[in-house]
Amino acid sequence: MTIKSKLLAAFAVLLLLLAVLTGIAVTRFAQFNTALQRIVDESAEAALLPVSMEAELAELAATQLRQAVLPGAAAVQAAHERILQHRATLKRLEDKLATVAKPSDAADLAEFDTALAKIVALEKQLHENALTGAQDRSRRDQMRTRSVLLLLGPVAEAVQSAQGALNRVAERHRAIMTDEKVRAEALYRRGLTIVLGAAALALLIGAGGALWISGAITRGLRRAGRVAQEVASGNPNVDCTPERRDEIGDLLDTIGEMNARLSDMARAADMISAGDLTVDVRPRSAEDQLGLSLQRMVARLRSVMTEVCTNAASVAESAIAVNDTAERLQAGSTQQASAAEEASAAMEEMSSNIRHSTENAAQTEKIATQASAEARDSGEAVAKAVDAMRTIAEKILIVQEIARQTDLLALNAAVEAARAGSHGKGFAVVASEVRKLAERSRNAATEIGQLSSETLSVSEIAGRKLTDLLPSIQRTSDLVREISAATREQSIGADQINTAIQELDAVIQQNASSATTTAEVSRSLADQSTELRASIAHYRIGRGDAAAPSGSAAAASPPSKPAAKAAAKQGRSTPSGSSKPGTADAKPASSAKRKASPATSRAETSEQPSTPPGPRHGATEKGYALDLLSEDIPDSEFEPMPRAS
Amino acid sequence: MTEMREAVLDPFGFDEGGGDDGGEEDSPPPTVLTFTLGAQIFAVDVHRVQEILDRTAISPLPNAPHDVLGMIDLRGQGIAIVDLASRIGAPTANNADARIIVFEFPNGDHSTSLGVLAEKVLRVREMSDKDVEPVPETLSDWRCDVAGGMIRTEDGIAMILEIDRILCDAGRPGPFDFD
Repeated sequence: MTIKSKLLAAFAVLLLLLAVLTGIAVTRFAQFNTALQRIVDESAEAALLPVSMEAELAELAATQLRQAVLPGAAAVQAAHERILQHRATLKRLEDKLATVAKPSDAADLAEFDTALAKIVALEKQLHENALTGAQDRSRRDQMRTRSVLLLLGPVAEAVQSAQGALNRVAERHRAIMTDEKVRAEALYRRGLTIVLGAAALALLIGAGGALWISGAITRGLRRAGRVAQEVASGNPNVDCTPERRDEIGDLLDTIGEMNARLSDMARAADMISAGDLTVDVRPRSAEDQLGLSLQRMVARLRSVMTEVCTNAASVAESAIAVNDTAERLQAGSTQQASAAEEASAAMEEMSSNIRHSTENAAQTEKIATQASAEARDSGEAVAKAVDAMRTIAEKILIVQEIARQTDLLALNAAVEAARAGSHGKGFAVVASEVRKLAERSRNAATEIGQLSSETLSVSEIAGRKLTDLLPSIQRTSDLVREISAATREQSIGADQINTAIQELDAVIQQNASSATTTAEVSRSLADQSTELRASIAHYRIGRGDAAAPSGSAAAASPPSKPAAKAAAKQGRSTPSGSSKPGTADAKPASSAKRKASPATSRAETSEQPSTPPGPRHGATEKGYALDLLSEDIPDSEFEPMPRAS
Repeated sequence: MTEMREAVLDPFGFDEGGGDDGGEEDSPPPTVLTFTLGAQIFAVDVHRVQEILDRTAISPLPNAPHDVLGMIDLRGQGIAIVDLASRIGAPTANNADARIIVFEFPNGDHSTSLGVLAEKVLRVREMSDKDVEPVPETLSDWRCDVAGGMIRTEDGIAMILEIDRILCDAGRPGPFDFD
């Protein structure tokens, strides 16, 4: 039973109940309405009419009294007409009452009729009395008294009798109305009970149906959700068999189908993971993203694995090459280390030499400084000597001047002596001697002056030379100081070089150990690449070829030269079109061999039918000596052999 | 300087100046003072020599004749310096160690002193008359009244100058004033 039919049934029952309930309610309302109408139309009318009649009766009585009392004929007439009107009204009301009256009212109504007839009869007398009183004033009071007596007597009795009858009727009808009301109430209660009960029943049925249907839907959907969750979490063995055949059952069936297809994909992926790359993944539709992706993945994996195979082979070769290089590097590092040791020793020697030079330079510097100071002192001494010489020259000038003056004095003395004549003869001799002495002293002074001036010039030259020498000595001293400083720096530099060489030595030692490590690492790399190739061999790429063996075969053993030559010859012979097309096309290798060595061709051709074509097979099995030198072809003309499938 | 021990002669034989020395002309041998001007050696009578001085600054005299160089101050006495060289036609002495020879001439009741520049004063020597050689003849109209003769000295031939005639005869025509 599907959810749809369940829902339809539940709503049908509910609608039916609603219709029944509506019918009951309409019937009951109609009954109730009838009862109410009867109460209003009959019982109430019958109860109200007597009251109106009583009021009318009272009016009539009052008008009679006024007729009796009021003076004037006009008033009497008016009152009389009023009375007649009241009587007509009473008659009409009585007729009305008769229509609604019950049979039990007949006695009362008859009594009322009797009383009314009596009142009417009395009215005639009253009216005459009033007319009489109006016409004849003298008798007015008499008439009035008479009328009042009438009124108080029989009229009042009749009115009372009529009122009593009317009261009874009214009383009776009031009681009837009360009965009707009670009955209507009972009717109302019964109808209410029935409607409420039917509504409660409909409520129960509706609630029960809703609970039942929603429970079924919820249960089914919950199970479908659980199954979908299992499928989402990847469980391929989830139970998808539906418990009921409804829409949720269909949903479960669809989920089961989806799960089955996913399981197919999973199996394909499983095969890929197991290394079978030949698995053929077909997408279920153009929108099958997973299937398309898986297909692309397999294709990509195939190409990647092929590349990985090739690369693994080249990695192995590179690892071996790296190993060789690392061993060479190790040897080089050892040589470097010994060279660094020698350099260090030479540097030590050089450093000690430089230190010696530094000490010598320091001593030289000291000596040069001293020499400089002494040269300066000598310069000063020479300058002093020059000064002394100059002083001597000046003093000698004084001596010369004195000699000249003496000479002059002697001359004058001689002149005086001569003028003195014979008396001055002795004096003339003295003057002459003095003059000679002056001459001698002047000559001596001139000689001394010459000598001193010569000495002076020589000393000046010596002083100048010393002065010239002084900067040179100073410069020498400075240069020696610079040399000393440079040598000190050299010494420091040599020490630094020594340290650097020692550090270099340490680095070289490290390099040597690194080279050893590199060799070990490259060796293990080679081993690992071999392992990698073995691991890759696990994958099968397609067309029945395992990936790694073909790659390793291509890398490890390139086609040998004789085979290539034979293939080349065969390639050349095939398109040339030999005389025997059948044998040449079918067995190109044998024809090539025949061409290569005619001596063995016969033996080979005899074996043709039994041996399959293949240069290697023939060469290895039969051991032919191929004459490779007879028809050698250059590499440019080489044509590769078409690969046999 | 050689020994001057020769016979003293009077080579002049004239004493027109009226000097008091001329009175005792026979007693001492004639003595001359030799000096040089340029390359020439001149000799003058030593009795006319008052003093020999070092060369000092010569103050020029205003409006002096061309052959008067100026004057010097000698112990408060102004002495005119005459350019002897220009008068006798010899080169003027310009050397630093030149000497001024002050001559003394009697002039009336007093004596006048005149100075001349000598390049170098050689010596005072006595001479004899036989040493005097005459001035060589030139066969011309040359009047050489200023040269009294020549003597041979150890320094060379010296011209004896008539110094009185040269310096004092200012009014007379000079030796090179030709009429």
